[in-house]
Amino acid sequence: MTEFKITDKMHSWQKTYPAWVSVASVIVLLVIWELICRSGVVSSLFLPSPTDILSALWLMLTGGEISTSLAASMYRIALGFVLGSVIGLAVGLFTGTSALIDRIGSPIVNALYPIPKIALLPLFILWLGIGELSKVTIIALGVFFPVAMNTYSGVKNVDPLLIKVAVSFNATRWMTLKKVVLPAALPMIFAGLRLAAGTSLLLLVAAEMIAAQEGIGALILHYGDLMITDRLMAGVIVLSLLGLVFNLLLQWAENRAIPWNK
Amino acid sequence: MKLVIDNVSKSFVNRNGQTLPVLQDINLTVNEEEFVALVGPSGCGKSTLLNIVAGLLAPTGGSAYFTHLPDGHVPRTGIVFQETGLFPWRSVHDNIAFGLEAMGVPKAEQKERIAHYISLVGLTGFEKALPHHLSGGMRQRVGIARALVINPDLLLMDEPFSALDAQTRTIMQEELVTLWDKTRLSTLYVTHNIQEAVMLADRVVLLSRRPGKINQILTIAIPRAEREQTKHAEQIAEYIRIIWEHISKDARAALMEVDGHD
Repeated sequence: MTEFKITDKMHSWQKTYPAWVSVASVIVLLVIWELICRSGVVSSLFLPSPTDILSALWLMLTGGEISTSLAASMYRIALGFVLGSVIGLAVGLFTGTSALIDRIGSPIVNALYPIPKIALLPLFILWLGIGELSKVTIIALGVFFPVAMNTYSGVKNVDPLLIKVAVSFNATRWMTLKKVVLPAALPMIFAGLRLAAGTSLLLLVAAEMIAAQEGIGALILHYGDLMITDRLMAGVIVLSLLGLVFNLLLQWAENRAIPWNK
Repeated sequence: MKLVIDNVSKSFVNRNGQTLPVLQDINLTVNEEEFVALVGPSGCGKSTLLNIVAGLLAPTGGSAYFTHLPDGHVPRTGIVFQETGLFPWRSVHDNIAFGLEAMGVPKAEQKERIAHYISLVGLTGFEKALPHHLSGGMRQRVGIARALVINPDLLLMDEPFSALDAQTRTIMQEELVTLWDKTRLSTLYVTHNIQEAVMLADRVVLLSRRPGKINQILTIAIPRAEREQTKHAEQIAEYIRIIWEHISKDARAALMEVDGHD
């Protein structure tokens, strides 16, 4: 008599590992990096060791260099992001819900969308000066498009049943927009905001490298020119942390704004 | 109050430019405190007719209107949708509040009225729950409470229980009978379930399919509250048999239809 033992065929698909495995992998990577640098195979000019970078970062922090640069960068990105997303949201909402504004606005938005926004920086500097305004504008513009595009498609894809429900209760157009269309489009809007976060960081650094005295981008370029690689890398770390915090903030806001989206 | 459906017809133009008649010469009256069920196979246009009465769709010919209204009274229609159409971001309480918000009812009065209907549909304790935390049956109870809380002159129900499992459906039917006896609202109820129509309605209107025409109107001459009793079982069965006889040919034809939809 033969037996057939039933085994779990989903096992390899559903395997899980504890979180410390991720931590360990990062540590192992850092240790290998450190060892390579210490062995002297690679010149510290090209690849400073993690400990060198950390001590450079510490010196820059205590010297106040990071805080001035970070303050300048955060001011630009925060202002640009808020401006760009508020305008993008409004434009997306109205182009998505009004057939006339859609006809008028969509071709303009679609024509401007593919332009790499950084290409417009010289023009903005010409128009708005080399100060903060041109940098904030370029970031706002870079944020505007993904937010407007995503809001538009979010609004277009609202379940018609929900609008029918609102209309059946004689809700006004404004009430329907505010209480039905907008919340229903929120998941798409947040996807747009997350896209825009990446774009805004990119534009921030690019703009600061082209035309700024202060800011993380300017700082990185400055140490690049001086070939002080550990300080350059410290700047990159600050940028990566800035991006990380930005994403966490958005994630937190999203969880607060759409708890029903499960 | 009386709802009059006067010679209503509706046709759609399909992608190939052909005109498809969906409803033809529908004449029907729903009287004060009367429960009328519309029964027919899929594709008979029963949901289309309900949408026209709801003011969510314009008829191609004829009209639907209310008569015998008190002076200056603007009639309200409460609709229970097949897929519930609850706003996923609103709690049970807030979903029910929507119609009252549209009417501009003060918050304090809203609370009182909502509490009343929440207890009427047996959802006390679930006020703060979001729709995705509720079972299908509970969700549709919210849908019913939302339609009733505005004190409608006419209640429209579009296959409200068709998404529920058979057991829940039977329970909800029984609850609806009890609920209806408390409110005695003029009701137009769309269903493809013959048994459901016979258990609930004062009159059952049979629609033929493509184009939908009124085939026959049956008065169910058993008091609603007694229809569950065994002494009426035979008579109920007879009603069901008569209706099935009338629509079985159409239903079989609908089964073979490739693009069959309501």
